[in-house]
Amino acid sequence: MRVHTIPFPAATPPAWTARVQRWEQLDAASFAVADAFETWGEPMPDAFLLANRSASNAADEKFARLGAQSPSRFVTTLPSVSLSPLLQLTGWVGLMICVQDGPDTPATALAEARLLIEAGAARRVGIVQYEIGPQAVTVRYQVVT
Amino acid sequence: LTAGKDFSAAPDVRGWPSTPTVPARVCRIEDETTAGSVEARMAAHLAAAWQMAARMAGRSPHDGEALGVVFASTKGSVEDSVWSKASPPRLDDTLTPVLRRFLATSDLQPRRTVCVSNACSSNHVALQLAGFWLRAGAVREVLVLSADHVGPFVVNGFAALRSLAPERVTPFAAGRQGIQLGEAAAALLVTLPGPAALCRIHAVDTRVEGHALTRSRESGATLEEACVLACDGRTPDVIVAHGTGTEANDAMEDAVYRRLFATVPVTCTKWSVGHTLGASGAVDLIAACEMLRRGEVFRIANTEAPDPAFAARYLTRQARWSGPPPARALVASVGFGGMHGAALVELA
Repeated sequence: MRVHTIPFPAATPPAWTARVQRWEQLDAASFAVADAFETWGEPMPDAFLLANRSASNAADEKFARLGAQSPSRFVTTLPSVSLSPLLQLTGWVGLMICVQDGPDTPATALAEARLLIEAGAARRVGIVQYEIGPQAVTVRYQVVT
Repeated sequence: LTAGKDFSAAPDVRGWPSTPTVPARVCRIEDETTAGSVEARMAAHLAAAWQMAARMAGRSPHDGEALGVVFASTKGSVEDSVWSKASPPRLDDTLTPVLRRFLATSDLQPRRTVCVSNACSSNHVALQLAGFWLRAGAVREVLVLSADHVGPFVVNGFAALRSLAPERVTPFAAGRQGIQLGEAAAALLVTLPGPAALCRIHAVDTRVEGHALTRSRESGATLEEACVLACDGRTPDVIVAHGTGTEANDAMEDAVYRRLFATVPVTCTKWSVGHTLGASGAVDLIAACEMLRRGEVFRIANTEAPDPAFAARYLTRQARWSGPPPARALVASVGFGGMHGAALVELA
């Protein structure tokens, strides 16, 4: 498993931000996922599972706390959006499923990854997880083959 | 839909923690449970949908060893927790509690469960996942549940995006002004092909692209890929478009349908029941199945004529259906974050 931790908000924008639309509006999760893959140089899998126990809770709370008026905050309140900057950087198109199962989310994602392979839907499934802290985000990435 | 009724109305925003800055129209599920949590309300709606689906299927899957359940939603019960400034940040997602409450009040004992949150393509993704489960032999039946609740979080969000139509929604018309919101709960019992099936889902494909956080590529290339894979060489008799009524989405869909199926009639549901978000794919699939079973089509009754810039064939209010009863329908879906989905459904 690969692990990447980045301070958020970043003190200085990483080089990849020039290739992403409105990078300054990205939420912690999408910023960190893009930064992690840029740092690792990790090849893209056949399919992605986004598996975060808290889903988009951090973005949801920020949108509501700021008066529920910000369009740029609202668009980050969907778990599926957190992969978008990475896909803008790589041009990858394919199967991506955001799975949720409360505290069992990581284990469920692993089971679903194995099933995708069994069903012939993919040969390499990448599972992306993140944890958002007060000043940093940690991204975990596991490839199931 | 066939009667041409638009079910939306201005929401009662009294008591909402945050009031939308622009007018909104919402199609609400009519129920008597005005009090209580959103989680309980959604679970009750799912139970009602499941009861109806089980009745239509003529049976109830009691075999826990053979059943899987997938719940698709964009925001689940987010309204229950997101406005409380006093509470600590919520640790777990807002979909799983809805599914657990539904299961606790049902007699179902599934072998496998999961929640899927892929924006407004959540139902298509759930259907595709159900297909993988069946193909892998993990279960024999999959109950695909979909629901979303419309409250101040969702309404304010779309208001902030300036995507809400102040009045009626007119998909694929010139001068279209955006969406109206809707609530829905849906249940689909998906099995391997068998004599009891009401309709057959030939294939489902979903794929995500990285063009922008919200908009799809103008060319619609990713939706086109999904449609091609779902159709697998077949030509649909009718297309149920995502049809939000927004400037960009409708133009993107037109680009796809004019390239792939220029003569195939295109209709949609969101002008009537609103955009039901994570449930919208299920609403459209069920509407498509009803068209096939009844041998009749519904129109986009709010739209008098299509945008002159568009070239696909739209079933607007004045359009005539000249072909035989439809036997095959393509159901498309688009969602934030670059999500695209397509499902081809046929008469069983």
